[in-house]
Amino acid sequence: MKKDTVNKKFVFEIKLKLKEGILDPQGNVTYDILKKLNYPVEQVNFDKSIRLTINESNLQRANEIAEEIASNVLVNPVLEYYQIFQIQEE
Amino acid sequence: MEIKAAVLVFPGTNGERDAYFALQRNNFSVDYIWHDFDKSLEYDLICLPGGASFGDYLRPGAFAKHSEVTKSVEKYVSKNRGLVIGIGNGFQVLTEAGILPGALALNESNSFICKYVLVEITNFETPFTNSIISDEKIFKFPIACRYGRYEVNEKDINENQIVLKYVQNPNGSYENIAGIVNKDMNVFGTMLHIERAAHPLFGYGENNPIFESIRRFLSRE
Amino acid sequence: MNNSMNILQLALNLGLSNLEYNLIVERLGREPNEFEIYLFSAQWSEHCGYKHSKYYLKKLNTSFESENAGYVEIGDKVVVFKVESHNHPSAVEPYQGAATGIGGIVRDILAMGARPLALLNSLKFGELTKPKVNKIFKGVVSGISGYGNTIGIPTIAGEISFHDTYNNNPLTNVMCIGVADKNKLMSSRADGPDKLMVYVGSKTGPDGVHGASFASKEFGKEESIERPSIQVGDPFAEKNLIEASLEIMQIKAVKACQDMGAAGILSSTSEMAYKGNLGCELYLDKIPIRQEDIKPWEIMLSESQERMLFLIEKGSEEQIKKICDKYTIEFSVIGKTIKTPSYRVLEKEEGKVLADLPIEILVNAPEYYRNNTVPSSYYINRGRKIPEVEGSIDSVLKKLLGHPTLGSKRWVYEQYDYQVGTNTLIVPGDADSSAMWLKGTQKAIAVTIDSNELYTYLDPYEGTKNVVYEAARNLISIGAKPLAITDNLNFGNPENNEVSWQFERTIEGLISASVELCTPVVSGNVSFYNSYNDVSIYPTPVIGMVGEIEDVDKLLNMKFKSVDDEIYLIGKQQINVEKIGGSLFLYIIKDFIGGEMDTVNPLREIQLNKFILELIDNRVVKSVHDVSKGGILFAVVESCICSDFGFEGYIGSNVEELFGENQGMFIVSVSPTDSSKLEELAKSKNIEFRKLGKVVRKEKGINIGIENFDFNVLSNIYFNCIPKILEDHLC
Repeated sequence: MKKDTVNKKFVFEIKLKLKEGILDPQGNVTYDILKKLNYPVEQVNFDKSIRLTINESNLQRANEIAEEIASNVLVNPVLEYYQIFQIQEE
Repeated sequence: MEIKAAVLVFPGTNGERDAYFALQRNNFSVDYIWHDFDKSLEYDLICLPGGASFGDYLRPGAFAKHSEVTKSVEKYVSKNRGLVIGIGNGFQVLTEAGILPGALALNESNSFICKYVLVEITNFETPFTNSIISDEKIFKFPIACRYGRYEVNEKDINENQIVLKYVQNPNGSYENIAGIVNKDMNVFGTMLHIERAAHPLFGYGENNPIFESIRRFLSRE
Repeated sequence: MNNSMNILQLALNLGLSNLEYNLIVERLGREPNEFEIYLFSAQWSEHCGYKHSKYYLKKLNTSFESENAGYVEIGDKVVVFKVESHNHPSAVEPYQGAATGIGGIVRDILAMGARPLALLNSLKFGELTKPKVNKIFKGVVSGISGYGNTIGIPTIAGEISFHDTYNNNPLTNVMCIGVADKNKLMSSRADGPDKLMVYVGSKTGPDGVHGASFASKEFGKEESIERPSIQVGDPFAEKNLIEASLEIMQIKAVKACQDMGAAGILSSTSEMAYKGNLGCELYLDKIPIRQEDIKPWEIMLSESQERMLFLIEKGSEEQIKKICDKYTIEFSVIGKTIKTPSYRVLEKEEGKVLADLPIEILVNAPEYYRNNTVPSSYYINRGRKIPEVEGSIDSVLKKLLGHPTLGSKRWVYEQYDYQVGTNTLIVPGDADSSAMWLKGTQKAIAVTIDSNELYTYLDPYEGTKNVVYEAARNLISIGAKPLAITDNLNFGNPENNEVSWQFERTIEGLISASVELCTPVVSGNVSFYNSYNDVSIYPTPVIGMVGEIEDVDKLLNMKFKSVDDEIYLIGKQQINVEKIGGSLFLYIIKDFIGGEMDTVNPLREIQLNKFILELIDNRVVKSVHDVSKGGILFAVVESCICSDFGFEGYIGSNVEELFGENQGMFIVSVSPTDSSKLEELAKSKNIEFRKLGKVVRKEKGINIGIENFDFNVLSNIYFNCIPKILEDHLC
């Protein structure tokens, strides 16, 4: 069996967003302040963003790992859902 | 002579009554000032108390800097009308507003820390420390914060601005710094809850050295 | 016909039984509509309706539902307090579950017109070495820290224990204490018709909407984004709500207040009106909502946090709105009280009527009573022979100190702001209970929270009595006179005979102890269905007790004070080794629960408590620590470790005497010059005592005659107990 050599880096950004209907206290208070400062804002949401650099041989594997990390480790499925963006490959 | 102190209250502030109690016990006459106060502050001492202004959302102190009263404090400081102290969240507000250098980051432990610590007074030449009548240099004070790790660019702070240092660093603060003053030495910020050492029943001794020093300094003026 | 079939199906889906549905139809004399059945499902839920507990609770002589919390008077102040659980939410989302648990109990106290002054908690987790438990533990602690610290109410004391019975059912019980001036308490009872019901606080969203089983069907529209039922706490909103409410309650035109807790708007409005023998009318369009697509029934049942209901006289709206504006919280007149005893919900004023129910029927859920029989487990457990404990005293002691139930909770309480408010006179880890100074007086409020699942499982009646007496001893230890009780009764499935029997016996034990100690049960809460795969948790009544300290200058803790002070055991002298069933060391070392448990002797206990208070009042003793979990040796070691002193003397010769638990014992230290005074007083009062030894420098170790332990070794195990387990089981 041919062994893949790990020689690439893939950078992903994982965004954790609150599910619809979940209260976002930080977003609400920021909204109030921005309103007070007269900015024409309609909504403010606090998301979390996490950058991952993964050492893997190919994009598909790296993607799977990012997916696994996001769903098993990073997200709190009761409150949040996640989105994965690939931002770099070297 | 009556010495007048103002305790500023932002939405979410929760240490205002503690500061009030401590100042009153040290013979200040005290008023609360709500955060929308936009006039000139006619007081000898302005105290920004601890607590969680605006829920500490975004960053502790980040929103309070936009309150009207914070602008009034800026004027008060630049016109050198009196002294300003920021305790805990009050310190965070002062750094966010740029009145004091540096910033307060998440504790090294990643969690809230409530306990007492020992600190050494490293500069006795400030209004906040120069009238301490004690041969001691080491004092015991409580801390209670999540964002207490003091970070500053070396070039932004002079050695003589450092007033208090932790004997044992509880949160990873730069150079063990626990309290600082601005260059003009009329603003003092610390993560120590000095206002909680207000009464012998709380186990921090009979007198509060810092409040005493402030009162003596102001009554001499 | 078709419609009523659907309604019945809906009722069943929402958790009502066939019987209950028929009862509703019979009482109403008609079919309820869909909206109304949602209201019934919530108001008649166990949580709101106390269906399985009401019958027993009546015997307690306290009505759990009448006001938001109970109170006692100390000097010219009224001390309001209550304990409440948030067990199920903490299992699902530990951080938010614990956070919103705090928010809820704080609003209960606030609704009485009192400023919340302090928080305590009783937390129960499974085995900390399990990743799932580990996660829940950390989540609950950080939730309490995150929410409690931000609202600026100190968490001053508590208890935590770890037992496999809680592996899937953690318990989060939170107690809050507030203070008001005498005659300033606020009622939750509507005092007349035509007054305005006012909504104050955060907006209403679909948080915590009732009916989890139903939710999956209706909310599954978008695949990945399910509608939540979890409540999220906003401590900033809560802090604003606290300050606003306290200002609002100063206004004379404000007549009643009720927090919006379980079944939110529905239960707060219906109960407020019903208590005043009135009805009410609500206008749904007036309720501030967070999102447009929320359904009418969701609005009624939502458990969105940080909301309060006030009843006000017409004409005072502007004054109250101004306060709400100042604190950036919502204000809305959502309805009014009416003379007709009906609960009416309208789309808008003069608009379509969604519900029109006799309020009495809506509010009064049926009451269930079971004829309980004694379960065989009761006899089997007691009949089990207490096993021999092998191994040296040294190894047993180290195992106990390293067990998270007995080891230091410093890792936990350093995350809680226990001093904000500057009233805290005893900090965590220093004494058996805590004390809050009533500034401006010499007096203080003493508080403790206690439970013992091993005792209450082995014998719910005697075990509960032991727990109540233990709570009293904790107060006595700092010099406080016990005044009153609040309780949180955590049980499994009440439809199960064993659980129902445990509940009944617990209530009886509670009544008996509270009468004997003259400490009435003034408030409380019940949490049923703490079970997993049909296995119920050990019955866990949690007792919160409040006492009075006459003179703060006489306050004591459990720390030894100086070298050469003499250490006495006061009270029961000889451990009855036949009656050490339920002792914690047997569970920790042998994983054993069973055998006969020691029981309290009320007359002797009361006499002993009085004697200890007398010693403290006359300043004879310098420290007091009651003997409880871990036995006499553990109590002595604990006093040594927390005060940085050693011990020299003799306690007993075998494991059972050293670690076995019997009732009614205190460890006191006294200066050598006062020891004869102590002995004389004890003799004159017919109180048993024995000198165990004396305080020595810690360098000399903890020497019990038959063994000498190195101070630093024990201290390290004790303080590093929880951090070590968390480190060894990283997850």
